[in-house]
Amino acid sequence: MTHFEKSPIPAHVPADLVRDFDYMNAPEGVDLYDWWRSIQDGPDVFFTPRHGGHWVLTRHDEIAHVMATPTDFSSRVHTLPAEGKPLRMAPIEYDPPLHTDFRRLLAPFFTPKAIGNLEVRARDLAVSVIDSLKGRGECDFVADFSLTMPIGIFMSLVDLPDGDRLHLLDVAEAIVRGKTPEEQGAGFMQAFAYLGAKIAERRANPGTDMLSAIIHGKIEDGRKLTDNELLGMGALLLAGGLDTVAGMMGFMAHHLATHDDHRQALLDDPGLIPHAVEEMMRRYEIANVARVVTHDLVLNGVAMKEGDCILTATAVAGLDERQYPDAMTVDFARENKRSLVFGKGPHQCIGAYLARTELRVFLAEWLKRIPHFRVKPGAKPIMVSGRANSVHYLPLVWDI
Amino acid sequence: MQYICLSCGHIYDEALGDPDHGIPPGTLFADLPENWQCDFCGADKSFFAPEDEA
Repeated sequence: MTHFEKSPIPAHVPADLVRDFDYMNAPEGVDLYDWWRSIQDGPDVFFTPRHGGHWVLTRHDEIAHVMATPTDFSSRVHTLPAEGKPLRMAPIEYDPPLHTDFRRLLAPFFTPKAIGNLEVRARDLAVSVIDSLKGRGECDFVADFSLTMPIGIFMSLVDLPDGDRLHLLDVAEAIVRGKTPEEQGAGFMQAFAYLGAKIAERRANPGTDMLSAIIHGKIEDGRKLTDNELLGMGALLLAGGLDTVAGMMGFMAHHLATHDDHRQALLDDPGLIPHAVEEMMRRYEIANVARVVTHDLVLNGVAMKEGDCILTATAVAGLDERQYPDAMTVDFARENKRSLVFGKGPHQCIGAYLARTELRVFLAEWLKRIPHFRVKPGAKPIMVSGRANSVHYLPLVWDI
Repeated sequence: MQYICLSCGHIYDEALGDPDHGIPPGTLFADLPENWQCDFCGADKSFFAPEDEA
């Protein structure tokens, strides 16, 4: 079944709660987040026949509740459509307690001390790339910066050669935004082929990198990870590490290119940068993940059956007026900027501290060197929806 | 003793507590309610670790 086809509506779904909504296909010519917010004009919970048929939550509190309650809502299905993945991705598609064991292997690489060492590299890399762009007076922010800087950090974390970067970006794109199970599955197969070779290398010659730690780490009663667990975990790291920070940087760069007052506020007081990062992450949340119902239950007055899939799109959670007054407005001084951008509960993103560090470094170093920039006149940035929203094209210009 | 949020780097200092959320100075981290959250990013209590170990 492709995304163009619709699944039958299950008997337990009330007809008045059915909407035709395809979360991976925002209409052309509309603002991506206006489109996400518009689903809040309908029921708080509705059902769409797209992508195998699934529920959609439109409000922050229900999305937070589902994310934080793994006994009722399992991460066994973490993205939609459910059948797109040949293997389960550890740790996010596992529930506790095995999920906790997987996370324990990764945790040492994401402590503030470990990230502190990476921050130096992130800053050096950002400065080097920005300096190379500054004299040009223009760039495609995506191709020239956001697909370079954070990915360079990720490649060093897993000790992969920079020459593989473009190939892996294509793989991550298919995994994160492949619109059919076939497209996504092809991305996974490419990832597994690549990772299989790297795993064999690191088995023979372990290093101090994250991939080696996973290969040689132990879970449960002291066993090593199976080959399928290793491949699934590696694929998740590729998709998460290569794609998400780059996407968020694109939305932030676009926001600042189109809001002179916000850019000036950060130039006047760089101490605002951590607050600006939180607020822009709240306004432009990107991860559109899912859960599966573990037993028949009622959520927000709606009866759901075991096995029903639920889209818990953070992209819409951050735009909820019930949680954030004047939600579409970016306000660095907003009292409550706390969002679901990194998830909630046991599956909260383990890379959150690294992501925040990279975003803060990006803003600080970019604004020091290219303080005033705008979208190239006449050009049209491209923003797309998917399992993670992203910016595909962002032409910027500045005076030199 | 100080605890750091592994999600955003915010510090919970037991000597200072979290008065904005009803936690008086001197409250041990272990005594914080289980539903207490990071004041800056909203991460759960379980995302904090002793600052000198993280």
